[in-house]
Amino acid sequence: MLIKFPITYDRIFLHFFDIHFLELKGVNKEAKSIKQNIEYECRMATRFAILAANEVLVPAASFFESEVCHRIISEFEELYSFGIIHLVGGGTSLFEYIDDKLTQYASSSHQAKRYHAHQKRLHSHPPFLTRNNSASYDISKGWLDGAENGIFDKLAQGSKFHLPANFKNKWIKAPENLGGQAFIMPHIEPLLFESAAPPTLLNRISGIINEEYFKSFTSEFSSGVLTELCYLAANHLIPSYGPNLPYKDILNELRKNNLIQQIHSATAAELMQMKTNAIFQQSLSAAISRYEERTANIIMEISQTSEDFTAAKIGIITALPKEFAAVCAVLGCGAPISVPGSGAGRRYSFARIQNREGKEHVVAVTFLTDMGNNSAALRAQLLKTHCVNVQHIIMTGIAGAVPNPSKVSDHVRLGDIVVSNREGVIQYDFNKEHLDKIEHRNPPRPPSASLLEAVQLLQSQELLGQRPWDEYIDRAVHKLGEKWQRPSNDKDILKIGLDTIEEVKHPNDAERKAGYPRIFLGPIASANILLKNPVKRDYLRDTFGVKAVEMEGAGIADATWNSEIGYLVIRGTCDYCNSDKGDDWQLYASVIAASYTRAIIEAMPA
Amino acid sequence: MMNESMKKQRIVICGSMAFYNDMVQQSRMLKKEGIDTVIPESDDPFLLSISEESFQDVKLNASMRHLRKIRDHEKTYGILVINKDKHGIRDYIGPNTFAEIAVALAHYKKIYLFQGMPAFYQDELRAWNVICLDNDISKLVNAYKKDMGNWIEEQQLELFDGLF
Repeated sequence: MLIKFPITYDRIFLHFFDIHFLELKGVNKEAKSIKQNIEYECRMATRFAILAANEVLVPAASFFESEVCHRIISEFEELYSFGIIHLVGGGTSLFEYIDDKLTQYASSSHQAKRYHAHQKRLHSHPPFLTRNNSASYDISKGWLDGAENGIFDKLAQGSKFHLPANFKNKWIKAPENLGGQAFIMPHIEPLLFESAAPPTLLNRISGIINEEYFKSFTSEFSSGVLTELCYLAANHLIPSYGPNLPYKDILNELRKNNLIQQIHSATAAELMQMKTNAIFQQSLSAAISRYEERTANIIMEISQTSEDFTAAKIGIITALPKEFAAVCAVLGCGAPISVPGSGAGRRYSFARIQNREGKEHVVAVTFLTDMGNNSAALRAQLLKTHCVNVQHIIMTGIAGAVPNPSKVSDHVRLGDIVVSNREGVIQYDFNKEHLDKIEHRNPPRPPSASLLEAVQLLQSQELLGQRPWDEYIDRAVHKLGEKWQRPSNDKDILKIGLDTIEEVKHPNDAERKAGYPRIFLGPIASANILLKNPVKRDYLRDTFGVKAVEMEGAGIADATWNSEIGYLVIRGTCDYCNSDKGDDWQLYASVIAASYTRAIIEAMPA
Repeated sequence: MMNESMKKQRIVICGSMAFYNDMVQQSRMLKKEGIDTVIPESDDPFLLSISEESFQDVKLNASMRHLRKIRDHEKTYGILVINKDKHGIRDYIGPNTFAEIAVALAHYKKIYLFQGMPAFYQDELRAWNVICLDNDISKLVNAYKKDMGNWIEEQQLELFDGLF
């Protein structure tokens, strides 16, 4: 076994101190054995985090609301000035944080009493780290995303109970109806149920709130969490955005080296000295190796048996972070999950999308570490390996538009959508080069029939005036914010000419719906070239009939051809492949491509 | 139908330690109904720091004691498995608990799952006639009282048989 010294984690978030989480575990119950075991686990997990991480993050709410948390964290008072432990919360200072909290709870509540008490004597606490995100906002967002993405099926999954009538409406209105109260189960329950609800349902809803709450912190601070807890294991996964500390494995390794008691009784100063202790480092390394080996096996099992990895029949690959963000927002993806192993290309977010027949598609969404066809081909191959049942891969993102002002039906403008047709992708750097000429040798790679059939279905519906993607665009822009809005038409400037550059007036197009993209079907040019050459662009248009130019489609087409599965390229246009190429349209182009992708998925039979 | 050697019997509660609080709660509920229960021994936190060898002995002995309680021919009526959701897995049953269910099956004990049927083991558990309570402990209470009632009735009839 390879021992690496010293092992340090950047940030570990102590999720388990949350008062509602601890209550579920029975910390307030009179059974002494439960309280004793829970407090022991909390204490040891905190000590492991301090030993292994550069920074330990504690939600300020836990510190003030939970006696157990306050007691255990206070054992490390002498470390407060070193910045090893931080309280995290909203507001510019702890005073502001507490003032804000007091508005969220009834004055008779346990929480309000605790905040009042601390407000009076706020003298000793770990330094406060201000959050940019709001946990309440993030929980509400996750809550509403869930409503769009099959949360109601998941809640009742495998159970005999049914959701009450009008449950979906109540769910959607709940964040607003909270009226500024904290997003916690005691406040949510009466908004959803008029009479007693099934306990399993309540537990699952509580799990959703907790999961979104923890995710709000771990995603903002890119932190890992304690996993493999025993008494403190959660009913849901704890979303993590950094390496995790496996509690039970560490405990087992420390026991072998007779270190448990030493760590349990160490003072704060002694604990700091132990951080570099060779035996501790060996134990930690062995525990992590064991954990990684086991989770790798679990993932291998998961890829054969579990819901998301095996159920995913559609994969989406994006190139840029903005494209990935747009797809996740439009599809309502869950937190990214990493497949254990080494190297890049192991992260997935999953979404569940109901098709028009009411059946569910599980979609695996991922992104490239870098642009280009080589990366794209490699990533498509990895996606197929990790999600063995994937049958279709969609490349979704932005591209250069190929305009044709002299032919309005082919005139692709900024903020339009181009979908690869049966001619697929034209790899225009796949050439034989002679002294006097270049011979294009791009191999034919048509998209799959079933994906093209979905495109045809959407086309026919558009003729009937139905454009479901427009609604997704509106919703996504609303959700993501102003920056993602469609730029005004005066920012869609097309220039022609090389020596004398002049602006070309866009032809009138009766087929366009004002403020929304026009959909074009056609071949898409692809190469490892960032094209800023309008002459070449027009050459590609005149030679191959291409409607957009990008850098990944050919790699996806080759990889899917090799794996004998289908592909489709969906691109939102953001520039004209010329020297004016800018970023103004990129966010909006990402959103429209993602929205049309969702419409395609909904049009696919399950 | 109970056999002659049966006396008032107990329920042995099983499940992951993550559900320890639920085990205690359900044990109290059953006791209120007059049903005796046994729950797994919780770890004494200070035993966690003993030597590896001693720790494994302690764990083995605790497991053996619990398995003996499950298979006890006279004292045990059946097992109640607390199988709530864990780590996002619906109706979670871990490997230890699955082994305990198998022991209960091999000794003809009734097997109740507190929540639903876990997808992972559903073929086996259905074949083993495992009963899902879907959080409704009254199903277990009613079945228990019916069986115990029958047994008491039989005992009383036997007494009368002796008189006539």
